[in-house]
Amino acid sequence: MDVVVTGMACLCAAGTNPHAALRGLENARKHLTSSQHLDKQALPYPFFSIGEALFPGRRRHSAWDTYCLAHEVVTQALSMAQLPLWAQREASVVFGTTAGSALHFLASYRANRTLTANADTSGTVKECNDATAGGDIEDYFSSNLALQLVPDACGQRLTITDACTSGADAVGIAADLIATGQCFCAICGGADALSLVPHTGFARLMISSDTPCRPFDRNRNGLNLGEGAAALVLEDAAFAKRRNAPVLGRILGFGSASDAYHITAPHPEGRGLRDAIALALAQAAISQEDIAFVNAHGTATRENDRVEGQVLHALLPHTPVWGSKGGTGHTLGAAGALEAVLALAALHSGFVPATQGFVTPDPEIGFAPTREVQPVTRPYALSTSLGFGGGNAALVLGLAR
Amino acid sequence: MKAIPFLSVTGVGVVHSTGGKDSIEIVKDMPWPHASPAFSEPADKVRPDIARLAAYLPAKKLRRVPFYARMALLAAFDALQQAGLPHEAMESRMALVLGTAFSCVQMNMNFMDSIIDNGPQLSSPTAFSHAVNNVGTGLLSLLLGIHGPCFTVSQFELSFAGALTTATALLSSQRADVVLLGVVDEVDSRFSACCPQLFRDGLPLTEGAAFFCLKCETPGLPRLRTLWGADADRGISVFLSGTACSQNGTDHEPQWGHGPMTHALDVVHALAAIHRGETAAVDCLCRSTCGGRGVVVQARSAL
Repeated sequence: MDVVVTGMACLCAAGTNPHAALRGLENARKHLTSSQHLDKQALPYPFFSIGEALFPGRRRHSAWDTYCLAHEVVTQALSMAQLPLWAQREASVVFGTTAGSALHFLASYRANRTLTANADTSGTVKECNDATAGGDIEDYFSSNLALQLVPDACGQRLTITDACTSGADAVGIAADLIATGQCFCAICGGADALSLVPHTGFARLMISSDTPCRPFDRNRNGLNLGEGAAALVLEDAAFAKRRNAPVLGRILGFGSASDAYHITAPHPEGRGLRDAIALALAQAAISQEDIAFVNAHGTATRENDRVEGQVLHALLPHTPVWGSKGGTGHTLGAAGALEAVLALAALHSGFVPATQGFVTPDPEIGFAPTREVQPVTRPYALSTSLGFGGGNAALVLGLAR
Repeated sequence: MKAIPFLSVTGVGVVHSTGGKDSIEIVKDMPWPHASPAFSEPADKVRPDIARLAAYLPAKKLRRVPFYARMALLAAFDALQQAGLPHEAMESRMALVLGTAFSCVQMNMNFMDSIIDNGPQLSSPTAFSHAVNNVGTGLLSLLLGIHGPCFTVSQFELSFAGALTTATALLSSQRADVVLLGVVDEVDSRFSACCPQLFRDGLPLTEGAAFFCLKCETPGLPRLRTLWGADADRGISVFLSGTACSQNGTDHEPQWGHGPMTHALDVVHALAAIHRGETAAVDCLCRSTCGGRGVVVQARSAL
């Protein structure tokens, strides 16, 4: 795989561009916001808010909110990449999301569910009351990320909805499309904004914390949801070289594997994660000694961190592990792409941030993640993602050679 | 510079609400284009018959598996059986890609009902966990024992085309030797009642699943590939779905109803026609309501 990154952008509670977000992680927990700001009905689990300014007009509590975040990062990443227009027209668009593709139009549904749809003589539901055509439903049908972003691009279009691995999978699949010659340029990433429905769902699964989250900490008690988006412009290395594009980094390896164990819990020995990491390292053709750090999924739930921590401790015992969700929250479908961008920014900056929220090592995990800023002394980073449904993804990222 | 390869089809399975085309073996016995049974009820009143699933999985394994995933399972098992893949083969080098426009609609509606009726504090966690977009992929991975990459693609009418593109990436990059590719979508009256976008005048909604076992292009097997932004070839049969139905070609939605899986049903139909030797090439053009983008899936006879 010879795929390079020529543009990247991100938005999260820690900052509105990659380097600002990296520096902002330390103080990002002040952006942990009461759920009442999201919805008056929301259960009392705070979330990492991205603020209201990024939603033109107002937050609509619909798929449109996710589209706004995705549009912003894509615009920034394309501006950085300076793709010629003809190349942009040839590009593929591969984006991951969860809330952006889900049937979360609660307001319209609540207002109209008691109305009986009209049926024509053949039994076909033909028309709905005008009042049912709610704005959040219209948004759902008009805000699909891959179908709507970068309207002039004519390449492949994929909206990846793999729950919490969506963002990482989108980057990996986009890289595969380039590496196998099916396109020479792809705009990829992930995005998710929150509303009452997903916020309630995670709370009811009993995996949300009512306090700031503590990735890999012995006393961790759940995740904080977060909002965010990230985009990367990927190109075939030879094409980027021909146009003298500044290269920000490389996608060296991608691994994807499934636990096939349980619909909501990870495999107790992390079978799929082990496979995904092994595949990504094999494709990158580097040894674990070359890895500067791991940006772990690290949601701060009991099970995720135990399984992921044990796998990383077993496979990469001497590699620093950094959990960024203590400063961004769990941004769901954006997380894998956001963490890939943050990992590249860390490689560029020459330091790995501390894991916000971590205090006490967990003997069951067997290691402590980064407690303070550490220098980066090696050229590559590994980013891991685990998801609902048993999906696991790993990306190996590197600086330009 | 672009090189979009063909993939070979080794097995097909279909379950849908027109009531009975269970596999390509049955489709091939029908006249072409076949006459589907007349619709007398909306699809959510006459759901696909999935009784045969009991022959593949014991009932206790299907507890808490929603109907949405059961349709997908039956079509997947049929496709795997036609491909001659024993269950034991699934653990090695097999990937799963599922296209779904709306995912498990009933569970989504159940979860919203539980929020509205009981308040967030008493809403149903089970409904939420089955309302996540990739619940079908997760359940199929679990119940079929697929340990390779398992991806979900959700983009309305173009979900099948997106899934086929993803399968092409997986096979071309040698991440898998076989991809089990499927589409599944279901109908729910609560969803239908508030979404006029779902309807096409005079046609019932269709629901069901269509699955394909795919591998890299192999002589002797029919082939598929996806071309984004392309027009259908001139001088060959063209099947139309989505908003492309008004273009020149054959619109089968009057036969099998309207819905996001009609593109995949067109491709099954095209493969059946090729299998019977009635044609060597069919282009299946689908155009999305969202964004207006068009995709051609080319179905071609064996090399």
